Amino acid sequence: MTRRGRLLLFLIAATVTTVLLVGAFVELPDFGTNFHPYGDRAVHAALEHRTANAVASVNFDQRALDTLVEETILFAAVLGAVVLLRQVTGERRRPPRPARVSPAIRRLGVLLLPVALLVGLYVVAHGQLTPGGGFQGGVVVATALHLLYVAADYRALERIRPLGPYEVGDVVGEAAYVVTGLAAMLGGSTFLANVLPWGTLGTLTSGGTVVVLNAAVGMEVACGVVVLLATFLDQVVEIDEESDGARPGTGESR
Amino acid sequence: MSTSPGWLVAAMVPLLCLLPVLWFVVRGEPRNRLVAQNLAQLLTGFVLLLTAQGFGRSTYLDLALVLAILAPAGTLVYARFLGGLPPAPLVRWTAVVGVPATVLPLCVVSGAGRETVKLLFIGAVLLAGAWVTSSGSQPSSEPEPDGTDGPSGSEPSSGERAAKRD
Amino acid sequence: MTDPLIAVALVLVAVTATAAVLNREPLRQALVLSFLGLALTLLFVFVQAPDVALSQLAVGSALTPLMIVLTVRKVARATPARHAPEEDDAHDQDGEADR
Repeated sequence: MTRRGRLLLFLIAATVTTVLLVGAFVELPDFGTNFHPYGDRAVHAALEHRTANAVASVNFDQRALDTLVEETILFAAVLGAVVLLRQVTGERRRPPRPARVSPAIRRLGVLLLPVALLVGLYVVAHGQLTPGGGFQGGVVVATALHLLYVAADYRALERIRPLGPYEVGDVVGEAAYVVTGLAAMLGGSTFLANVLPWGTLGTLTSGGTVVVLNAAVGMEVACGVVVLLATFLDQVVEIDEESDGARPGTGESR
Repeated sequence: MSTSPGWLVAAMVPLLCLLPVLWFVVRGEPRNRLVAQNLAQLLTGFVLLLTAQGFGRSTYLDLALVLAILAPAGTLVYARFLGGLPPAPLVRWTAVVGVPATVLPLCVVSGAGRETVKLLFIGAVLLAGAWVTSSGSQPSSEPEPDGTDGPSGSEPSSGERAAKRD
Repeated sequence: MTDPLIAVALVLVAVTATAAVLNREPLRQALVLSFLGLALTLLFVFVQAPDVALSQLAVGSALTPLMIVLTVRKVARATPARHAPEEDDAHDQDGEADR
């Protein structure tokens, strides 16, 4: 496509988008008013199911199916990265070298790692009460493990990260979400209906299935991110192309 | 929702400080960029602590907690790939002065209880992270800087050479 | 008092996002992107969306930077070897990384 053609296409698309956006914004309620028709209903429904964090109720109860799809998107993305970034013919694997890290940073990493793990699990477990939940907590847990890489070296990370269990964890987390939904169906309700006892508002066990689904997502995200970063790290730290020019068509495969 | 404007005005101070820091992230020298990123995390932590009180939502403290935990990890990631952490007295002094100046008044207001413990913990983690990441470290001064994560073979690649000159 | 906070956060987000787009060097972009993450986190908190803010914080503070710098490192290492004739381009990238 020529430069002119691209510019023309952009201008047309930009004009249409602008018109639609402006049209939509004109119809919107004013910013910062107390008119929240959807919010009021969502909060009401959340409190009915004894879920203090209305956002968690929307994500894992009222619209749990959407979250299942989102979880599956992450799952598919990780799967795609694993397939694309695998070791191919003509690439060799070499052991990672030890890194020199100052003692202060090492100590900070050692101190921070358990704390970060704990905070991650806390964020997952309190998803129904406070901001956060499975996704946020899962990412914190995965980041916590990678403190070993940034505050020590790759060998330290590999010691606590045999990839097998994390791959299994990724799948189990994804499956647990679906199984929870199916269990509700077996119990005579609809898919992903909140059938568990709702408990008392504001306690750790409140919210029914919200707790279970948060845990499933937390597991899937934590394991998925670990696997995802592992494929990236392997590419940079361990996998190397053969230096002698004999790379039969591997360039295109990645 | 009951907001207390005083705390929100106080939150405005670190928030406005982020503007000059942004300039250094975008236009600064390579060494200053990383320092500016570190400083931005610290200032964001202060804003989050103050707005939690300002909005009267103690659960918002979780944000400051997560930031305090993850900020050193982010800085160390860059340090590994940009060729080391430059010493940053500005970050250190901002933390030494700012953390007590933010956390202690909040503790006084929230009184004895779980919230105070959480505040003190967040403050301690923020301070420790900023202290260590501002002390400056390795590897640029070492003979083989890219021993950090193992370059390919004997000849350093372009990215690594760049990191070395940084 | 919330409105001035939102205004400043909006300005921060707009300026940072523009700066990230105008930057051409990936490592520097990653740093600007980190800053953008912090600015977005603050904006989300100010408009009372702490869950979204926490997501942004969790992903933006260490995970995204790590993925970007790893990719930059891998590409920088692979480029000169694979496209020998474009050695000059690689040198240019080097120069940019230095600035």
